[in-house]
Amino acid sequence: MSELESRLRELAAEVDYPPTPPIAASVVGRLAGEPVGRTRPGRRAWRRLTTRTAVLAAALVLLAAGVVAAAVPSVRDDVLRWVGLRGATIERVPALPANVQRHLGQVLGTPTTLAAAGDSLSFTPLVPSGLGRPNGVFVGRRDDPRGDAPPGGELTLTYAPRPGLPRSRYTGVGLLVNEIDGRLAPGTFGKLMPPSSRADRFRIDGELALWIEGLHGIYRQLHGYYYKDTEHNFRIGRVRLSGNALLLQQGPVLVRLEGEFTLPKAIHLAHTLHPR
Amino acid sequence: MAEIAAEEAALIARAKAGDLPAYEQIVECHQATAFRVAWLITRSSSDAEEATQDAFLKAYRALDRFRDGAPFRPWLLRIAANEARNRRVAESRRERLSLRMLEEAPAGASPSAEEELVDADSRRRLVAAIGRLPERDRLAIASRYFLDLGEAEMAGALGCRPGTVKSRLSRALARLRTEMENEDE
Repeated sequence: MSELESRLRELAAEVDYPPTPPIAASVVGRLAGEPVGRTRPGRRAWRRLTTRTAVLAAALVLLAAGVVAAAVPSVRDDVLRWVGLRGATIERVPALPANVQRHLGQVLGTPTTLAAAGDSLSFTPLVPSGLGRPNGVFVGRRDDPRGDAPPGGELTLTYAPRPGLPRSRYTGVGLLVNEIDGRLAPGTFGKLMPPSSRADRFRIDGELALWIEGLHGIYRQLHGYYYKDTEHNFRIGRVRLSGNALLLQQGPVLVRLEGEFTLPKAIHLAHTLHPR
Repeated sequence: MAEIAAEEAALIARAKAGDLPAYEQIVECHQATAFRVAWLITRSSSDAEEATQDAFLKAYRALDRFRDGAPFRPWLLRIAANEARNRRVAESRRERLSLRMLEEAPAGASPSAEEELVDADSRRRLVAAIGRLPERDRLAIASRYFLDLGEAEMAGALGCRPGTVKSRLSRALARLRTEMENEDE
């Protein structure tokens, strides 16, 4: 072995690689519900849709169709079914609107307790385990004058920052959980994705999930948040900035997890969701 | 070694039958090496993570074409390296190959402070020279000396036939020597 090779061998223990992320958890999360091995030709196209490129292409198509789709409920429903998550839509936009809010604001709903929250909702709340009690529980009801809640109500849980869940610049908490009834309130959560963000659709335990990474805008398509201007263009009212977010369908419930975490961490949190 | 291979073959057989926890164990065994190979190509942590994830997904979906008894890692590294090459990262976004600061001097050595400085500087220059090499040379050297990959595994990562690994490595070392000499002049 030459001197150079000896020096290279000695360096091996000192090379500073980035820490290996927990890839196994996210791979298994994405594979859950998939059959192993060779796929039938008919399924190959569907599989391709799970790649990032296809999701972004889908988002571009949605952008082109977005205005018309929002105006015609039946068309919008078709788009939603295609996206898969009935409580959410995504649109690719060249830039976020100028009137975007940087912070959460007063849109959480009415403070309550976990025990009482279920009475205001059409669905059974899901809570992550292993994080202790949330430091905030809020419900939004349709008849709540403070809120803009969708049919079936909305649950919001906040968890204090901690190791692994740092304080979010946009929510001020470690983890923000939103839950709505996707059957009763299709398309409640609208996502505006600038070019710097990316989306990836996959399955967790056989249920559809959508991971949005990077700064993007979130709005609600309720009570005039989405309106038409004099040029007959649809405009979006209150849009706030959001960091990384995982949306997942859990039966009828659309769950949204937001925080400054990576996909593996988000998938881990999703796996811990259980009925309250 | 044979026991490890037999254990891996058993896990692969279970994964082929749809046993996801078995596949999770396989991923855990190889994720660090696959991630490092992907990172050496992209030099971007996020792109390397994405490439590695996609490689494991593709490997799972192609498991029925994987030959029973064959070593898994060369096959996986080939997929991971291809996924990494498909992600082009702008030069300005690339992370540098660097060395950790060692807290203790190597055992048995008691060099003077001056010798330590010279030695540390020499190691840093060597790593910087590797970082300036073309991707194929950098990957050949890192695969062999840093990741300690075997010939078949290197062939997977480099995307070449096992028979050409030695000549590729030899050319990479020659270019590294030239790079070091040019810097000295």
